[in-house]
Amino acid sequence: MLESRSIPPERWVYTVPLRLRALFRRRQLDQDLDEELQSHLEEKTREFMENGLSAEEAHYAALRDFGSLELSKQNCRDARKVLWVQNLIEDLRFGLRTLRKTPGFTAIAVLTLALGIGANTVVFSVLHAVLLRPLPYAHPDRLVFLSESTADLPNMFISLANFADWQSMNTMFENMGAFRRDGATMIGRGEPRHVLVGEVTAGLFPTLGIDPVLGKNLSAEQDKPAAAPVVLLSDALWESEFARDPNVIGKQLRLDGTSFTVTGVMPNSRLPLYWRRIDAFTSLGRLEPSIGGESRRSYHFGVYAYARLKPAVTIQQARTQMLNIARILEQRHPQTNAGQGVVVQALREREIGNVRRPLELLMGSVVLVLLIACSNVASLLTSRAIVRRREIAIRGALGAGAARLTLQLLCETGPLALIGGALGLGLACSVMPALARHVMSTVPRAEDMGIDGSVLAFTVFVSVTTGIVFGVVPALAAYRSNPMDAFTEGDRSPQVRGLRVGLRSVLAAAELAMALVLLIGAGLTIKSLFRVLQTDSGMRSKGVLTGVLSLPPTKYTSAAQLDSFLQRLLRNIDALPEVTTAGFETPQLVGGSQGSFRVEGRPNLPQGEESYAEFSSLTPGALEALGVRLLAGRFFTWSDDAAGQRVCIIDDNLAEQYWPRENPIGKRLATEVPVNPTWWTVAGVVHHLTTDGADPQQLVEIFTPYSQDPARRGRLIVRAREGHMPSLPGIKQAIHSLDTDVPLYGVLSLPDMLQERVAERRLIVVLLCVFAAIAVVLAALGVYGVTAYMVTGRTREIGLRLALGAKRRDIVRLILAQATPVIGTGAVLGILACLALSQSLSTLLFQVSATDPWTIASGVALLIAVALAACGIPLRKAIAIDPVRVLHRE
Amino acid sequence: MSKPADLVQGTLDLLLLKIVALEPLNGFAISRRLKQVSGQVLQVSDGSLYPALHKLQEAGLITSEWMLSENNRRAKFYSLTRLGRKQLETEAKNWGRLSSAISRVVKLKEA
Repeated sequence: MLESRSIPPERWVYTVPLRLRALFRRRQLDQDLDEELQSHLEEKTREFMENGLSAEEAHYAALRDFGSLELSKQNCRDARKVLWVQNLIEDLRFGLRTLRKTPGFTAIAVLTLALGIGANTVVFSVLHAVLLRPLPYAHPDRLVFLSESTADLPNMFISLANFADWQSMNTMFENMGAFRRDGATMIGRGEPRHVLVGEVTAGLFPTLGIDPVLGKNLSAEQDKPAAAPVVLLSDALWESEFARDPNVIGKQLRLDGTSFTVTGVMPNSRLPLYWRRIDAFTSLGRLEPSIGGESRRSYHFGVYAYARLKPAVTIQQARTQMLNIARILEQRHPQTNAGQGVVVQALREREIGNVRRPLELLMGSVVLVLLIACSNVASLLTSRAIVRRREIAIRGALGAGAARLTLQLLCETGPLALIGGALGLGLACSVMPALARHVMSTVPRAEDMGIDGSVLAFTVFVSVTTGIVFGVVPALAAYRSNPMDAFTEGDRSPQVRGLRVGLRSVLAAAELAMALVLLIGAGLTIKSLFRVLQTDSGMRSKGVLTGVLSLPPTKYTSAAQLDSFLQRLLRNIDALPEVTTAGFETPQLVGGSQGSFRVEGRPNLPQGEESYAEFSSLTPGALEALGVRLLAGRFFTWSDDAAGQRVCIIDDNLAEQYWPRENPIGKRLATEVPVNPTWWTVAGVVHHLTTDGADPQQLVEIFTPYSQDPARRGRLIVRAREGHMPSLPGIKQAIHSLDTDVPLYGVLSLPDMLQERVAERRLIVVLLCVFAAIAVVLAALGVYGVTAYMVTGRTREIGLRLALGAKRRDIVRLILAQATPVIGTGAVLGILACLALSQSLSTLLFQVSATDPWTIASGVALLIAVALAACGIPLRKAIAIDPVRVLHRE
Repeated sequence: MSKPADLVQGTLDLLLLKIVALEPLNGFAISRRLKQVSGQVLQVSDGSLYPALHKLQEAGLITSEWMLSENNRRAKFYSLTRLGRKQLETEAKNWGRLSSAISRVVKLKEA
């Protein structure tokens, strides 16, 4: 009871200055203490002298009375409670001195850790920017992405009429907004320019919780068919067209020949990724007469929607209700809505779903790299700890407790880890900008990546953890054994050597196993990439230039006008000296729009289970310019016009599927099946076209003649003679000689365009290869360490063997007999780990099994080769041992 | 010299606080005073007196100052801080309760 001191809160007011004094004025305090005790002894001596003792006797009596002066002093110093800090500082100094004295060890350990920690920092910063950071909206967890679905199409565009019904029927959403991405030709400053337009309903920005930085949001009135056209500018367009004029509200902007009144400016950075590049926002409701309304319920034209869940409503509840609504709409409108569902996805999932897997894979890989790095350092530390067993044992015998010893070891590994971490951070900082440039175009939200507080915290955490775990564990293992051994047998005790070789061998085997996992993983993704690149795109891409052409709707109102413009344009381009063929394809290169079709003579499939195909319409010359192989029939000609018979060209997949043993030419198929079927006669069969070989959803393709289904916007395809590239100025000249208001944009060579589609896959491969390479080098270092240690430890034995007549060959065999189990165990463990992990990898692979025996075999072979090479240097040293000198030294 | 009665654990702090509460004293004077006022019953060895004083000082309960002793020697004088005074009050109260409780138990008549 007496001991229980109630400590007033203001206590620190007294004690903090005392601690500080204890820390920084230590020498003075010690001097004070000496003086104080001295004065006590003098008083005591005087007292004894007064009692009749001689000066000398009194002095000794006083000392005797006092007991141990030094012990008392030590207890007084202990009272200052800062001893541990002083110890820590001393230990740190000692630790740093030790590190400085072994620069080779320190450099290897620090560099190894820097590589591991640096790689982790980089990948974590991407992971953090993309996956972990919340989306930049208010309550982003309540935002969902809406699309429609059928049995074949999991994320189909939404019909505007359906969307209107959802809005009135649902009770789960606080707000909903639909949107569509479109393009327009803007006539403003300078040349006519193509701009991206986001067509949005009035509810869209309120749903996301984004307000204009200037002016007002779209109002419900402005989002009606008859409303006067208004536009919200993007930050970029505000800058480029209006030079950030603060009085821009009320000014006019001409898009596709229509004059829009500017009502606001949107903050670019906070828009969903999908729209970062959009230049202007206009009303979607205004377009209802052309794409919405009851009569166009079957139109699914590029519209998606966002919605905000009411507070406390779960996404599952919303999903259930939306499916019910879809069911009701299906009953009301069996013609158009049969088999259609509503897909409710968390917005976050929608935005980052595709990159989650690859990023997790990369993160897993760098963690493996870090583990290998740590094993290496741990292995180095273990040897050192055992070399220092004698020192540790002496410290223990002199009364240092386990805690004190551990703390001291931490003071050596801690700085190592922290220096390694700092270097790793530097490494990450220097790599990051280059990576960001590569990643930006393929990974959503990657533009936000960088070293921020969380990333820094992660790095520090990783460094400290590695420092503690991989510093203390081997050290503890070293001094847990009987300290007596350290004194009696020292370094030569077989037990000590066994422990050292044993632990290091285990670590080396683990490193090899992890390196093998990375190696095989990298191998599999490389093979996938090659398979993707090898897939026949169906085109001969060399020498082909493409660009998007957009005809202003005010000038080109009829199909005949469009058709005649393109005929004249293509004739002009064809006339260019280097050009062999030119064509036009709409809506875009391969896979324009998706729709259902049925084949004549086949039973009507039940609603919702129809076959789907990718549709595009082409001018004559388009397929020829792409270099597509004609397998049967003919290409289009200009006589396949609006007046002629409706014909189509199909791909070999469709022909194979429906007419496997018949000639498909002359057969008929229908499009827009449920509403008003249009019948097309097959005129030709071409090889299947693909721009992304790994696209899992390989729909069959149906091409129709442009003249029979014209559109304002599409891609111009121009092929040059062998060994040439079409000249862009020539093409532009050809366009502008016909109409100066038609912009050509998005110009890309066909090979570049095909490459862009594999950019993400390529990036993953490059990163995995880098990680695998680091891992293999580190693991090789580990094997080298074990073997080198073994050779050094057995120098005497080898010398003796050589002296007794052993051949160099025998020595090699002796060393390899020790190294082989390590390498073998590593390889076997690695293969097992790969088999265990194969499930998680398989989604990222293309036409390669995750257990592909060739890849695994080559990975193992490479690893064994590298590991044996790592044994090479110590082996050469072993062979070079001079028995005479070794025995002489004994 | 007679062996002093062992001090009950923790009571030394209370005694020291009480003694310096009366007037600032140096270490030597404190040990002498303790002997005097306890009628030679309580005594603390020189070797443990100073660590105890330093501990109280580091806890902020007493403070020290170099002054001249009654014999005109430079000596370190300890005095109570505000915090120490509070601590003394609570501990004295605790001690009172504890000792009276113990005496009550000890004085119980055996049946």
